[in-house]
Formats: sequence, C-alpha cells, structure tokens
Amino acid sequence: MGGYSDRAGPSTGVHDRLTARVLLLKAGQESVAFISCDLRSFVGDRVRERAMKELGIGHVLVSSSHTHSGPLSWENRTSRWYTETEDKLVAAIAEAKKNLVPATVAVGRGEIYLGHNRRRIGPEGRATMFWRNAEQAPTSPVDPTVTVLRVDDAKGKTLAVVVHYACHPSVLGPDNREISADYPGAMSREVERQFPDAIGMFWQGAAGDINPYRDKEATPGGFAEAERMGRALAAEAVRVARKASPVTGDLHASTEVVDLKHRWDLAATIHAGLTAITLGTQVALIALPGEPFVNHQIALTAKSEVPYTLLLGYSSGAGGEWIGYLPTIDAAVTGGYGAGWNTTVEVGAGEALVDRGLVRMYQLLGRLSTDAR
Amino acid sequence: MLDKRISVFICVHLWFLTPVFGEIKAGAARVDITPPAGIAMWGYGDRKGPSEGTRDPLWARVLVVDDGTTPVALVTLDLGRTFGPAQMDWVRQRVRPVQVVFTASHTHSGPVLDEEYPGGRVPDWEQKALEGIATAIRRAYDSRVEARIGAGWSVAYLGHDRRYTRFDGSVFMLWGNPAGVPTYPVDPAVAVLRVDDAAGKPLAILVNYACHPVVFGPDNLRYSADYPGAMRNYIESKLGGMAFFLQGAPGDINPYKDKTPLIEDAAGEMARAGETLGRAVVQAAAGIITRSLPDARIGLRVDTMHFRLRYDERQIRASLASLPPRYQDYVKPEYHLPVTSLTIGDQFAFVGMPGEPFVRFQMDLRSRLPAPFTFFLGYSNGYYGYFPGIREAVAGGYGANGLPTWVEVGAGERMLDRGIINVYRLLGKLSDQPEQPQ
Repeated sequence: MGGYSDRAGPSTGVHDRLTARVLLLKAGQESVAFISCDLRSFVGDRVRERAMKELGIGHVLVSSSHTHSGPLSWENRTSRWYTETEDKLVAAIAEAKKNLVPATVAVGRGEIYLGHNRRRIGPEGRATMFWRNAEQAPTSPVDPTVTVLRVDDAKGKTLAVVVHYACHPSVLGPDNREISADYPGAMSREVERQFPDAIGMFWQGAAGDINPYRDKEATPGGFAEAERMGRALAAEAVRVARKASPVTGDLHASTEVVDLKHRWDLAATIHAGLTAITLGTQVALIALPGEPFVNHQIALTAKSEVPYTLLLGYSSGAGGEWIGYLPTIDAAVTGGYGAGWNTTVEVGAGEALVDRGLVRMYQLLGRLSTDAR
Repeated sequence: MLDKRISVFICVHLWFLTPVFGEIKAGAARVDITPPAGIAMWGYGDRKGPSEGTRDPLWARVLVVDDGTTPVALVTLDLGRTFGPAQMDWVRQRVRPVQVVFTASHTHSGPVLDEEYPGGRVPDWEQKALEGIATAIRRAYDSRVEARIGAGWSVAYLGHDRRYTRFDGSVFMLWGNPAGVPTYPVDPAVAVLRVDDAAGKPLAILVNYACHPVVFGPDNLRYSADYPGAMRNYIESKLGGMAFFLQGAPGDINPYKDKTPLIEDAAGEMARAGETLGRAVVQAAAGIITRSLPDARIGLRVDTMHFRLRYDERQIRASLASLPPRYQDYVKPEYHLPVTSLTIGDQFAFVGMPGEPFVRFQMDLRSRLPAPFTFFLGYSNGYYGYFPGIREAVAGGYGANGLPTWVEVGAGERMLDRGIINVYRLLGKLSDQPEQPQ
C-alpha cells in the first residue's frame, strides 16, 4: 500500500472499493476527459495517449485523490495492476464518449474547515510537524474553499458534481491495511446519494501541507471518521451545487512539459507536465503531477483574474514524471516534511509552475498580447 | 538535527564574545565617464540630434566591500544601461580577484550603448570609460579600510505609476503627472545603506529608490545624470563621503514632472527633485547606527537563467525594420539572463535583475525580505528590456506589451524568486544537501 512507510505489511482486504470517475466535456473543437481516481499518485500516460489516438479526445487529465489507503501507484507503474487500470480508464472514457449529451455547466464556491496546516513554524524559524490536530487549534495557511462544478443535461438532470478541496486523505493511518478511498470516497458516495443520476467527482487541491484534523485516526474508528468528514464536505458541496451559477463560453486546453532541475543533483533534469484548461471566462484549472503546498493555491487565486481558478495537484495531463512535493520558497527555508529532504525538484519549482500555468491560462483566453509592435 | 541546531545557536549568540578574526573592509572611488559631444543619446526616439555637450558629468562610482576572501565591487553608472557582456567581462578580467556587479541609473541624458558592436569595435569613449572603471575599482580596493555598516529608510514621493489603470482594467499612459493624481502601485521607500570608516565618518551612502531619471526630456541634448546626480551632490554636501544611487524597479515609475521642457526650467526641476530625495536620505542616514561586522562574510552569486523570446521571431524582426539595423541584434530565440544576489553579513542583501522591472517586483521583494535589509537593483549586469509582472502584461501599456519588452512573460517573477533563493543560499538558510529525515 502507498502513503506510509511504516505499515506492517501489504493490504489485507478491501474496506471500500476504489473508483475512477470520468467527466468528458466537449465544446466546439476541444474535448477534455477529466478522470478522478481514488489513488495516491497515478500518472497514466498510456491512458492519455490511447484516449487521444483511439478515441479522438483532445486532452486527458488524470487526477488522483491521493488516498493513503490505496496501492502504491507511481512506484508500481510497471505492474500488471497499473496496466489493467489504464485499460479500465480508457474503457471508461470510451463509455463517457458514448454517453455524450448536450449539457450546461455551473460553478459555485463555499467553504469548510476540515483540515489544518501540519507545519508549525517555531520562533527560531524552523518547521516542526503537527500531523494531527484533533483539538482543531487554528493554523495557517489553510484554504477552506470548496469549489463545485455542476453539469446538467438539457432537461436539468444533474450528470456530474465535481468538488475541489485541498486536504490530505489521511484520516486512515498506517495501522489500517484495508483498501479505502478515505474521506473523498465517502464524499463521492454522499453526493451521488443526493444526485442519484450524477457522478460525484473529487479534485484534490494544493494539499501538500494540509492534513485532516483527525489525521491517522486508529481503525476501526478511522473508517467512521473518514465517513463523517466525507459527508461534511459533501453537505457543503451539495449546498454550493444547488446555487451554482452558469458558465458560458468555450473550452480551451493546453499542455507543456517544463524542465526542472533536481534539487539535490543539479545535473539531473525532471520533466514536469503542466496543464492549463479554461471553461468560459469564469473557470480555469492549472494542473500538475505533484503535491503543491496550499500557499501556491492561495497565491494563484489572488493573482488570477478568472473568478474560479483552481490549482489541481496530483494531476497529469502532459506526460513527464511524478514530481513530488512542491513547497513554497519560504517553506523550503523553514524546512520540515515535504519541504526538505523528501522533496525532489528545485526550490522555486512550485512558483514557476503556477506562474507558467497562469501565463498559459491568459494565452488560452487571448489576454496576452502576441503583437511585437 | 537537534544538536546541529544548538550549535548554530551558540555560534550566533557567542559571536560578540569571540575574538575578532576579520572585519568587513570598504573603499570607494569614482571616475568621470562623460563622453565627448557628438555621440547619439539614449532614451528618446525623437531627439533632434546627437549630444551637444555636458550639463553635469556622468560618473562611474565604485564601492568595494571585502571580507578578506571575497572582494566585491559594486559599480554604479550614470548611463541608460550597463555595458554589454563582453565589455563587462573586459573589466572583470582586469580587476581579479575583485568580482564586479555593474548597475546603471538609467539616466535618459546619457549616450547610447549597445549590447555588442560589429567586429567587437567598442566606441572610443566607451573603451576609455571601461579602462577608467578598472582603474577606479583597483583604487577603491587598494584604499579599503575597516568599515562600519548600517541601514535605514525614509520615504519620498518623486514618482508616480505612469500606467494609469482605468476602472475597467485597461491602461493608458500618463507619462507625466504634474497635477499629482494618485496612481498605483508606487513604492515611496528610500532605502539607505551607510558605510562608515572605523571612526564613524561616512565613507559611502548608498541610496536605493525607484523612479525613471527622466526629468530632462528629448529637447535636452547635453549629458546629465538627471535627478540622481543632484541627489548625490546634496548628500555629499551635507554628510561627506561618496554618495551612490542604486536604481530600483522603476519600469512603470516616472517623476511627476516627466520630460520637463528646458524652457520650463527643467534644470531647476531636476535639482529640486534631487534635493527632495537627498533630504529624505540625509534624514534617514542620520538615524542609522553603523557597526563593525566581525566575522561577517560577503557572498556573491550570479545565476544565468534561460528565457524564450516573447514574440514570433519573424514578426519582431519585421517590427524592427524601420529602426536602425543594430536593433536586430537584440532578437534571439533564447536569452541567458544574469540574476545577481549579493550579501554582506547576514543583515544586508542585494538582488539584481538585468533590465527594467516593474515596481511591484521591488515591493514584492520588500515584503518577502530574505535578509533584514534587502535592496533591489534594476538595470544590473545586463540589459534585456522591460520586465512587467504577469498581471501588468495582461493589462497592457508601455513596457508591458510591444517592442520595449521582448523576453517571455513571467521572466521577472522567475528572476526575483531565484534572486531570493540565492540570498537564502548565501546566508546558509537553504542547503544544497538534504538534511537527515527527522
């Protein structure tokens, strides 16, 4: 299993099944397949390549919820399970393509505090880890924003509810050896109960330093806590979905592979796949295959003039490698888990990717002059 | 990990009790680099002809700081831009082991300078200036004495944001703003680094402020350092020592009385602007307590960053067709830009970018402060046009779009980040080796 290095052994069974959900959007000449998997770090290059070639899909974005109670994924990319999963995802995209109907998209925003910042900066300017915060002491930075997309068919029947939120799915800890989607799975089930014809999809945000208050809750209580947290998120998401406002305009996407330096081996290059997608002039997504710290999401929201600009971590749409944690420059200076020894890419990579995504976004919207005069 | 942390603490706290092994030394020198009359002038496309003489001399001023192992010369130039890479290297070769950081005031009343010259033929005046600068660096180095250093700041409102943003987000260019309409963003901070000799007498006063030196307009055909020169004269008359102007990030900042016509007393206006700034500096300098920095280190790191051409190459070449052919030399598919980080002890740092950054970068640096006193050096170690922030590039206006900016959007953000990262590295706050997991 993936997520913790101190598990006693492999999985012993399945508590709740891991699901991949596909939302295929097509507008004008562009089509984008959004896939959300209950996995830790699934890159799925073959899914993208095959869906583009065999199914004629314009862009494919494979996102993982980052559950810590699933199988190792990026590390298992040569396994049979990985290949079979890729096949299943291609089949799911094909099914979504068959089910294409005229649809409308709506967007809205709410907020809920389910996570805390797990890094505490001491007076000497060094981070210590604050994994669990059952007392819900205030921490900073945290982004409580829940952004929701609702997709309806022409008759108003809801086909998909997509929920973007930033928090590690680590309610279940290393003592749990049963496969589970953690709180995002519970969230999806609850959304799907309230919208019976819809899929309830989860997009993980910049959760690199955000943990659930009741992190690593011991089993069996951990399952109940994941359920409670998932339902709380679902309740806010459903409230927002019902009052979401329409999105109009075109769908645009672009991808790029950005070359980054290895932080500890300056001779090595890491290829980071970066995806930018815009939906009308109201919604934009910047997606990257790593774990950005939440300040990247907060900075992106502040910098972007698109009202709903989402940073999706754990998401691959352009090839390249899994790039691991993306601390901010400040966080790298204070150190701690995810900011020091267990990072891979150079300091400043997160800022560079987010800014590059922002430039791409403005290019997609035609808002950056290309006129040399 | 814990042990390491304790040992770092002991180092810091016992610093005052340990015997003095070395001090920061400093020396200053200057050289007149004013070209002869007859040279084409920088800054405005609509001048009537080449220069006709000198209003006030253009100086290169040199401050050398040395910790005993890393001598660094900060060379400030009364020029529109720094010299081209080959010319800067020419000086650097001649002053080893001193390392050199060049920075220009961006006066618009100086001579034209180019990145490179056909056949490597550097104009006579420029070659003479380079030789004079190399000599001045050696003089400053040879005259270095134990120094006391301190910093402080004040505010002055010489400049306004010349890009006026309308309520719909679009931009129109104000240029001058004689009515003093408030515009945004503006950074009124005047940051001052004061370097004294061991007796406490000022050796050098460095002033970091962001405003285009464009009090003189295109009708002026005589060389001038513009308001920074008048500012230096004022400071030197009040405090002694040598005054330096370090241009900040004025890519979008002009004086309220921009391009004052000569018949409207541009010379008087220039002197007044310099004095206004000078008064703020003298006030700030009076409050600065300088101290010696035993065992302080000097750090210099210049990284080369690679950026793309912003525009389609053929289109930009076509756009340049009506201008002198030398402009074609500025078009390259990729640019290699030097980003400068300089630290003096753990209190003072400089971050430099090679062109005209918009003022938001300077404000951003000041809000992030990798060292307690961090100065922003625009026009440093090269010249690659304007660097608007991403948001300014989207909003548009002069310097944000079109010919004056040709490096890809986002380059400014990357260079600022790298400059800050390298200050942290120089201060030992970011290691290139992974610490042991906790």
